[in-house]
Amino acid sequence: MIKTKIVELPSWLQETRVVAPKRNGHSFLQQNSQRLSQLLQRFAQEADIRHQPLEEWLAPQVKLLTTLSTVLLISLNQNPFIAWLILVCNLGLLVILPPAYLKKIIRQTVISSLFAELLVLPSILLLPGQNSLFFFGRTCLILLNLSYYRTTTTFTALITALKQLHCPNSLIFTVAITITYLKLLGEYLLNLLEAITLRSVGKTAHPYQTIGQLFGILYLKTHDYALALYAAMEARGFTGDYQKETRSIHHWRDNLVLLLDATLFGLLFFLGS
Amino acid sequence: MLTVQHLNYHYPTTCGLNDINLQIKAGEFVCFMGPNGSGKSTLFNILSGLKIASSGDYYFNDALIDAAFLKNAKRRQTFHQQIGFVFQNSDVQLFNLTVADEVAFGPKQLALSAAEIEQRVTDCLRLTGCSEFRDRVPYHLSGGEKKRVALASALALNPSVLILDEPLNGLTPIAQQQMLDLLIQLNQAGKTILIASHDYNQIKQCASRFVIFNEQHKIVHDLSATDLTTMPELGQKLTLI
Repeated sequence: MIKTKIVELPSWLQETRVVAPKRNGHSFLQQNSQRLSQLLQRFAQEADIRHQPLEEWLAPQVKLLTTLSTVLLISLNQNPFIAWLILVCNLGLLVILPPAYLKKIIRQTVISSLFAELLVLPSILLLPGQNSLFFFGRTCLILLNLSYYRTTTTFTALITALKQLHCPNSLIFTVAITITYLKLLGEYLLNLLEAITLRSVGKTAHPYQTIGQLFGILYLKTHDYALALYAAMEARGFTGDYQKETRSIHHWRDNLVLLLDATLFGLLFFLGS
Repeated sequence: MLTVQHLNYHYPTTCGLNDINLQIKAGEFVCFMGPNGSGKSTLFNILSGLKIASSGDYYFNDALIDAAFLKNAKRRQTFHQQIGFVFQNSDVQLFNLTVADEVAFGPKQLALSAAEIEQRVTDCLRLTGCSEFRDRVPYHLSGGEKKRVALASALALNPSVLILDEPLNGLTPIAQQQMLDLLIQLNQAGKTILIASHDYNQIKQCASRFVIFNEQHKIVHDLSATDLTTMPELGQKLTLI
């Protein structure tokens, strides 16, 4: 056993009384840290990998293309018939989903649609009519499509789709790093907030200074992470090129979905927007 | 002082803790051992109020610590003042511009005079051997130094319970011994110490009780240090955890 110099404990450290917190000051950080923690927990949480039935259902690039083209179609369209057709197609995709996914997509769509509705509520109240309702319907449809893509697509599938669509490597690298760091930095910030919560025993004189420090630390961490990750990737032979996967559009489902998209665009062209 | 009854914790895809029952009296020095991912850190997070158990009860000084308790700012602050926690990764625990500011962060929120705060900072830095870098930026310190600063920051609030998640990792043998000596002194002064460690040979000189987890996130042994000396096979096993 190594012999060390024994230090004497100060008297205040041997007291058992609990010191009262300061009366003046702000509790802004403490009041908001819990809500922020809950939000970050959602970012930092590992993806639920128990159900991923749709990963192979469509080729990733077809799925990305379909989502983007559907959003474009909905934005351009002014014809209620085409909007109904898109809704029917969307519902067709939804009914084959497992209940857990279905619940998540519906919940996300309803919440975001209500929020969107709140934003356009003054316009609906001031200029009531078909147009406002149709605008709201189209917003809901876009949100439904985005929620569907977000819920049923893995990060790997998104990167594969970008590769297959011949996106530049620098863009794929940026997307890959951003998505990876969002989770890592979310975790890091969550831990920092937990550390603050543990030592938040009263009111802080300068809460905004602490918030500033948090973001400063976060910036330093991001910089260090990026350098370390790039060095680690280089050490494992990364040259900046993302290899293209061999799977291409060959399945009848891929072709069917592309055909359906083309038909809807054709209808938009013939029926007029 | 701390009582845990039928505690369970579930992560989204895995189990964190499985039916944990534990009673810790004031002034005990308890060492938690077990394989990686067996639930030690999860239990510490619950004991410090950072996580709420999925089911089961946790009492601190006879008060039930649940979501409702932690929602009340006054009660939560008093609770946090009594529990000091040093994270496994101290890197995420330090956020101030200087080491001295880091240690002063907690005391500055209490009704203490400037002289008392300065006294606490100086004492904590001296006890943990951090005096020489009191004006440096915590972010740029080494892993071992960060660990010592994190302990100093926790001590500055004079908690009655100190929870340390693998505090000896990353420290030199001399710094490890200094930390253990300090913990023994704090324990003799009446502090309750809960520590997670993989180093049985180091920790057996100070812990009075050993709680051992298995890979199923359950407590398989809860023994006093004296009982453990009569079980050499188990002691041998613990050196390999």
